Amino acid sequence: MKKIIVSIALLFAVLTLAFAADVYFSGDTSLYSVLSLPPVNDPWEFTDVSLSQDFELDVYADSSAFFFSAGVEYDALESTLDSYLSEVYGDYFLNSFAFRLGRQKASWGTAEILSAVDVLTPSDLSDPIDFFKMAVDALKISYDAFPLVFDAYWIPFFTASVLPQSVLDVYSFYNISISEPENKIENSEGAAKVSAYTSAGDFSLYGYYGWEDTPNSTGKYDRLIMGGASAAVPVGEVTVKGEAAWYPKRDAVVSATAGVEWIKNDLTLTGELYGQWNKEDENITGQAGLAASYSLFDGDMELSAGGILEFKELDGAVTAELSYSFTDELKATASVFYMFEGSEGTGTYGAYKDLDSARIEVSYSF
Amino acid sequence: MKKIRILVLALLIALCALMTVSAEELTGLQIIRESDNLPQPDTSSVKATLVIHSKKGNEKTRQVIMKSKDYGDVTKEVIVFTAPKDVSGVGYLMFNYPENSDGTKKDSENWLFMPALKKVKRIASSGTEAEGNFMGTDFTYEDMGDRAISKDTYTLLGEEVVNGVNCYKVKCESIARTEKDPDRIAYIGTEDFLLYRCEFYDRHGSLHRVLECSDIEYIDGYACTKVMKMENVQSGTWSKITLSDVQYNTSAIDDSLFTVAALEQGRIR
Repeated sequence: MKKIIVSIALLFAVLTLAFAADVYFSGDTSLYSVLSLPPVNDPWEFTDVSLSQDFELDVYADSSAFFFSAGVEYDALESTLDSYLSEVYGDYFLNSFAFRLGRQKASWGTAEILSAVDVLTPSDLSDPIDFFKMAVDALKISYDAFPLVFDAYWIPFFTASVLPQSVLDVYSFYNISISEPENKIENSEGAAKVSAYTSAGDFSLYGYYGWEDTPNSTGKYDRLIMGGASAAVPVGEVTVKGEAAWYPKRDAVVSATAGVEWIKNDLTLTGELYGQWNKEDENITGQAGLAASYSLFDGDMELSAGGILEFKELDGAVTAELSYSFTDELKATASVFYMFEGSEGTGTYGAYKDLDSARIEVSYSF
Repeated sequence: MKKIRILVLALLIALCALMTVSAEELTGLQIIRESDNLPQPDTSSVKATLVIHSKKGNEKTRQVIMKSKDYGDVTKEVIVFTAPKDVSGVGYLMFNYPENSDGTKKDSENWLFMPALKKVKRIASSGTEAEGNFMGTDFTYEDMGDRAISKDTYTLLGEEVVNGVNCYKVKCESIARTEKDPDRIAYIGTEDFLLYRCEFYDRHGSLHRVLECSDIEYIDGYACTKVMKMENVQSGTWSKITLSDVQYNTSAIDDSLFTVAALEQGRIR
């Protein structure tokens, strides 16, 4: 069934190409390797060595556009070849309306590190160090009445988060099978957002009716209902950001984030505080996040660092990254990830203590 | 000073200024005002190639689409990068407000779209109005925007020929003295009031950067400076902006392009 939406998007692509004014084709070739920290046996024993090739196609016609993003990855240690379709969608613009149909990613909220409202699309959690957004098969309709913008999403087919192997092993150990909601019209997910972009700041309201992206302890996916709001207000040299969300079907009924972002020349600093109120034990748990990035040598080099601290067990994660662009096409990145387990070793980040690692990536873009 | 607006509009000062007064009658301020008052197109659309030349001789190239519309009480501008791959799709939307009669100016409104993050973020005006390099070039964010005439004092130093064009030589001195380059010497054509060169001096009074404007063409009656080269004489780097596909007052630039939704939807082409 999901193929229907993808097929329609591809058909749209053919039509758009026929009338295309601009066609852009680009790609990335990346060699990626990971070293465990501390090393288990050999200091230079790689736990992951992969070669990937991404492709992107952008096509623009007068009132329509098409985007396609896919790739292949070769795991040199496992000798396996995998392919993936990141996004494929068509856009059609009619006066103040915009329609987007196909496999697409979207992001909600103003927070950069710890969002309270970003529930629209699932994440790939298989690598807890490098969560990335997944696309959903959806129809998005937007109405632009600037400074107001209305977005509505219909997500007819459920897409679950990809779970880490350690979590899958637990389900397997207890012989629990994971079952996703059936692809039925009544199981569709719907979402809406209205935003106001004003001189004083940006303000948004969100509503979501769908499913949790991860299964519960019985292997089923619970209903997820969310109502939320966010704001981003420039105050002097900083942008003050806030998010709040109400989840009536979750134990953590209320979630909220407050933060600031400061951009000055080549330096960007972000600080955020996140909290959630649990209905059952009437307890508040929280996290703090910090991120900094600085570019130098006219943007050729970028240094970035970040960290998250979970208050309950004082576990968390820190990361540091250095990237250097030799040319417009050739770039090398080195990064280090370190998790600290806190008091119990069972917190969100403490549970992944064994995944401390150093990573090196060389990429070529065209 | 007639600011060095990279977004085409900036250096596009119209031809039809009437020279009814002689050079002897003009002060530095009057020359700047003449330049500032020249008619500009209400809308513009251009493609630009940014070449960044390092001290070691390496070159990087960025390609952008720039559109702007003057609404009188606000000028809306949008820039979208189309190449290279690592910045392709990155877009800025800026609302810049003119100077009030009392010399004050409302803060600009700025949004940045990062395609990798799939969302638009609001940026405090200091984030783009600062004197940091614009996308790694030798141009600063401030070079791109309007600089209020009231921020400087002006002295006519005389006349000098720049690339065969007779120019007024006007010294512009910052009143606040807080900028990296508080003093500039602008070379403005005596016939057309176009900017042909600008020298930027740092706080120590040393020459820091030199802007050269060339390949001036007239499109629909408006002057278009198609090549702008900014050289940092202290670091040995330079950046060049070359414009192409210049369109003025075209109906294709409608209000719907200057919205956050258009930026997010990738409609700026």
